[in-house]
Amino acid sequence: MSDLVAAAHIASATVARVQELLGQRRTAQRRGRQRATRVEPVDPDFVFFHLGKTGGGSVRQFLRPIRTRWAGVGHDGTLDGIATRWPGTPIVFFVRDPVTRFVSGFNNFRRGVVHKPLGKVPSQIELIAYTVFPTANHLAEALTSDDERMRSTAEWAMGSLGFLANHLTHNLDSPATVDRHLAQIALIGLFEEFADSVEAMRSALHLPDSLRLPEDESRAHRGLSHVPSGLSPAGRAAVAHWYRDDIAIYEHCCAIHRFQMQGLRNA
Amino acid sequence: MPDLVLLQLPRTARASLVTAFAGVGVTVHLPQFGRRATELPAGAPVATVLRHPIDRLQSHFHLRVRAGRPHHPEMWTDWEAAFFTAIHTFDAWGEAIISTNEFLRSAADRGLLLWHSHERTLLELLDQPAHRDAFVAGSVDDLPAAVERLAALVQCDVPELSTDPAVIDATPPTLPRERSELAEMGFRIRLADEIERYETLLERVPR
Repeated sequence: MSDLVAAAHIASATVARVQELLGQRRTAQRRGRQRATRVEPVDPDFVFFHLGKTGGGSVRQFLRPIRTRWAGVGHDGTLDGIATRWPGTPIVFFVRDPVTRFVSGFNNFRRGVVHKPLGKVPSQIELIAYTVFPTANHLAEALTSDDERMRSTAEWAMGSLGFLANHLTHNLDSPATVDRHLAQIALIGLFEEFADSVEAMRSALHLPDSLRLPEDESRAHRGLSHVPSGLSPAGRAAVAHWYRDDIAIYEHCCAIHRFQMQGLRNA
Repeated sequence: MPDLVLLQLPRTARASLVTAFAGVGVTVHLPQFGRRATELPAGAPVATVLRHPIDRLQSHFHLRVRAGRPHHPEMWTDWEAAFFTAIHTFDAWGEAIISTNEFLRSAADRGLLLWHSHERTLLELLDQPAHRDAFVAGSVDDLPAAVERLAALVQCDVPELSTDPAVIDATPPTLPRERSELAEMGFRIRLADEIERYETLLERVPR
């Protein structure tokens, strides 16, 4: 009898899980349709440049109530391209330490499994890469491996996995390019000082007080707490070397951020 | 400047030969497969230096397993990533060819198929009518002797072979040159036609 009760419980839990997954799928499909029919404002008040794994999902949620006032540019955009398309329009973007961004980008794959079980499936590249490298640290350390095959696999993964292949040098080009567009950059936010940066953005762009950051983990695209995110000293050094050009841009952006924050405090 | 047309497959000391003969004033032409003989300098001697198909395959495997490092870095394709995830070493490849494990056998066969389509085979060498009587100078196993024969053909000084690692692009010592008997057997079965062609062509080397 107890076996029958246990089986009934399991069946009930399975049905509930399937219904939950189907609900998530319907939501994902509805959002996809909304995105497909969205019209960008012709003359936006500002441009939000969403660099991957810098809290951009949360910022987009924050700005959603005023969706008709701003234009969004995704991960594959460039600062030069934005300045050409919207000359003189204020630009906002966030940056993040390339090393922690690497970990977040690596672990992004698991988000598909946890948050969007039926909305996102791994690509062939992801299947191969995550079979070989179970954690970000495995991939990081393999970049300097003596084993030629492992090193080649690591270099291929770095150049093929979406967020890892998306370099800051692609988006922002160089510190000199950032400087060239400095007059148009209303704010560079820091992922590491996210809440303060969002408030600075509110102040710099005169955004309404009613805008709020999302609390929901999925909508905020926050990292998953149970996923390994540590890097060994060797792994950290290898990733820092791989992203050395990005780090130069990031540090330059940090300096601009501090300058801009000081200016906002004095205003 | 005298011309020399060399019909060389990849991983057969092409860079070494071009560099060596450039040093004694010979312009070496390395026609791509499918290029018509009429596009080559008229009257120039046509020759080739061969390499045993299994050695060439091993050299190519070791070049790609290290993604061309250090002299010709070129990131893997997605296909190569899949292949090297299944096949870790050259021995593993040869052994997989005759494995009872269907997955490994399929991976090994597909690897050979794709490798042949990219790197060509000895069966395609000298396939054009104008190239059929090409001079076979020898094998990369004895490159100095092959270079001497080529120099006699072109009637130039015998050039010295480069010792520049970037030109030689030799397989690093960290990657094993030895092959297991089982792997050798697998490759000999799969490359039987090519090996036969290699041995037939070698008979044309002047003694």
